[in-house]
Amino acid sequence: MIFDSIVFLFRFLPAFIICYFLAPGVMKKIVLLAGSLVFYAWGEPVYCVLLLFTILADYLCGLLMDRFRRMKRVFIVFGAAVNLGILLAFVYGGELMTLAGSLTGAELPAWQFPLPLGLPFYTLRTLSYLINVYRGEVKSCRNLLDYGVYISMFPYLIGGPVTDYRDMQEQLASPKVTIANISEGLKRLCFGLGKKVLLADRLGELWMEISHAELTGISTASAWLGMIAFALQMYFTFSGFSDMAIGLAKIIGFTLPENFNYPYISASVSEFFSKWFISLTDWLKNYFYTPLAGKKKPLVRRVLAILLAGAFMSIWYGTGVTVLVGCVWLAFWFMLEQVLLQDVLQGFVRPVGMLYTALVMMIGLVFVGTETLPETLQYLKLMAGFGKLIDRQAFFLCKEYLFVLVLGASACTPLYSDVATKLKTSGTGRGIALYRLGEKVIPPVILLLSIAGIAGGTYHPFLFFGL
Amino acid sequence: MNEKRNHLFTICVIAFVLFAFAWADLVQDSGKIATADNAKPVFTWEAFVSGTYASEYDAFARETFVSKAKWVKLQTSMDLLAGKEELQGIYLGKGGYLFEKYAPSAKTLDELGGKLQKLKKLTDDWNATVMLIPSADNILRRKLPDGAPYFDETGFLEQAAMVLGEEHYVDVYSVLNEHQGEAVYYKTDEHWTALAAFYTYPAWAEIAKKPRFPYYRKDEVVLEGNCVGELQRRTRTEGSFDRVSYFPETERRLLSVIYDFQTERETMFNTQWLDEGDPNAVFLDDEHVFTKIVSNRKNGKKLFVLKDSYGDCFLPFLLPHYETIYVMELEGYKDDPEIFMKGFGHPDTMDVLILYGVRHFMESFDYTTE
Repeated sequence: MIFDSIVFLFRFLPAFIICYFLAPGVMKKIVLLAGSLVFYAWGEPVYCVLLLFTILADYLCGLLMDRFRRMKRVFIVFGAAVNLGILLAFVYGGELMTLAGSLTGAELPAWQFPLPLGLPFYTLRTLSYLINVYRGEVKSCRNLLDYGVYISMFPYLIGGPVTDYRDMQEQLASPKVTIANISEGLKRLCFGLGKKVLLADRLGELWMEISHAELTGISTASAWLGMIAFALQMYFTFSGFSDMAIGLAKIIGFTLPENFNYPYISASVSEFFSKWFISLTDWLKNYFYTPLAGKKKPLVRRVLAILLAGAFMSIWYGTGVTVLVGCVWLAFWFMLEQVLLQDVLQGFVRPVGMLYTALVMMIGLVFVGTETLPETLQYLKLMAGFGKLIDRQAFFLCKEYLFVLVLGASACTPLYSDVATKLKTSGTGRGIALYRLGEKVIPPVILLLSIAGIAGGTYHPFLFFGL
Repeated sequence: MNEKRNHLFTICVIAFVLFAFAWADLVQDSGKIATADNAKPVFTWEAFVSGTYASEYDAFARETFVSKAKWVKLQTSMDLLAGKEELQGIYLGKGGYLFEKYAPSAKTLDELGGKLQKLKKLTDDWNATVMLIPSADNILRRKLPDGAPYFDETGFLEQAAMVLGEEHYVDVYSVLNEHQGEAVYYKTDEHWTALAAFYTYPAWAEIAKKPRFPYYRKDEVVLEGNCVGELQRRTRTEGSFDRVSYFPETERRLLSVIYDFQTERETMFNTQWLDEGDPNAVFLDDEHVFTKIVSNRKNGKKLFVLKDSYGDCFLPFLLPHYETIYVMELEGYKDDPEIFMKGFGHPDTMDVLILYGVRHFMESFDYTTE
């Protein structure tokens, strides 16, 4: 089930909220687990078994690690192998079968299993849990219900944020359901829904128009326009889903980590990654980069660790070689900044850094947005000016999507939140009244417009993994 | 206290929207508004496990959501407010004209040469006349939204003229281009009008070497009733409509029209299509694989027409020249069309006209003989 659907908003959510708030004490968690499984089973019923298996296997691994500390290495290796094995099999199964076939000369059957919804996200949660227990940072979870809820909680099950068991442990014991949390959560849900339906989907239309055209026929201006639309679509899809997840969790009493902090105004790739999918970057830093780079962090190991982290990160943006190359490209610039460019960049004024970051990002996104390497190179050539500079299509599409492009670009900056803060702290009665009015009117209006987009629109794209 | 009141207000308003529409959607009888296209999916464990039930139910819930028409209207209004001039692949042109957006795929362009060769073989074998009707956006270019891209068909038409030869090719483009300021295409439907056919008829007569029958513009009669065509309905907006006109003179020589060897009529016109929103279908009753038209002109002359829907409003103009006109839509015919045609006459006893809209020709023309 996805958040921006009629079934979720007008079937599942009202029913779940009624059951959750009527359920007493521990029953709330049972309702939450059952609701999450129903949410997951809608559309992915078979993979629900995989989810339950993962929950049970990791729960037992955690208990065994605590019980037999001397053998904890065996259990962590087993647990990690199971989790990573499942993830890599689904992500690269097709490629691995092809490779195995070409190496052995055998005719192997084609890999026909699509990536289960949410698998990349709940795998990170299970892995971080096992590592936390292994390191002795947390006690293993004794309560299977708590652990099941932690792994499968529907607000973050399919699109993150990636939560750390250390942050969730206390909340699982006693979720904080308050009027303020419910109100803030509902508002956040509306804003997230608006980002996805009103911005990401519209920008996705523009990207589709350009990316589905014959590449040889499009101009440089169209290629840039398409890539800008794709970049904005990605941001509003991921941050929209994160906002909805954070909002939904807040309604039921959980606080999730923030995931995006205006990444497109970053002045370096390093800054970008500290603001883009923050929970994923933190996970990679804590559980991938730091152990690989080692305590003394020699240069070669640091470089390798960053590039490998980039390759690993690609799993969260799609499958296929182009996505892998695109993520390694970004990791390469991140690494270059860490070892060489950081001081150089600091010597420039911020707009220069922003321009450099945007350029690196755009090139990386071309890899993510295209399906084959020749297509990527063709698109990059077009962006570099090899072809017509401008055509009627670029002019018309620019005009056609001007409003949504301007709205999207401005919503990528703290402009609206700054205006809200200024009004709130203005100290004048008029400013505060305006803020109060906006606070009351804007979320429900966004909700209604989003419903119109879902029920009345015709274009409902998926970007990655059903999001 | 104030803060708490604000929170409660937000909760009430948003929860009301979610719960009220959820309730309204549940209590409405979805069965009443479900159509064949969005029938309620039937639950089976097999469908559920495969995931198809969920995806079909998602689509069903979206299509039958409470007050669907109002949500569509709100969405469309938002698009229009945002300055959009293209909705659902339709350009909202000037003066209420609507144009279907079209860009041929590389495959279509690659196959064009082969299609032209097939057309040439057909033309040579039967000494046929060919009419390729340009799309509305190519003639009414000035009515397109500013800067709207469109596929320029002139290159293809020039190539077709060259391949087929001027003795076979009727230059419809030049004729319509001269009359681009007039109602030569419908506003809410992709087809050309009877007026456009009236202007083109002399060009056909010249190539087909027929004496020109004196039709007059002043004889044009506009039918009662506004017709809202398919393009308008696809934009999901209201506004434009069309009036359908015809030339009564074209009707005077008719004895009978027989559709698909079954239904016989005494007129080529069927105005019930106006209510259906298909102005072009008024002529020759929409789509039939085979139609036989018999006139009172007892000259023994026969014409075989291979056409798509663009032929409908043109054929009435040809009645003064032929005793029998056979009309065939290639798209609906599966066997060898040449054998079928030879069942009605031979190149020396029967004229042949091939009439297609350019876009239809590019996408679907096929004349494969065994």
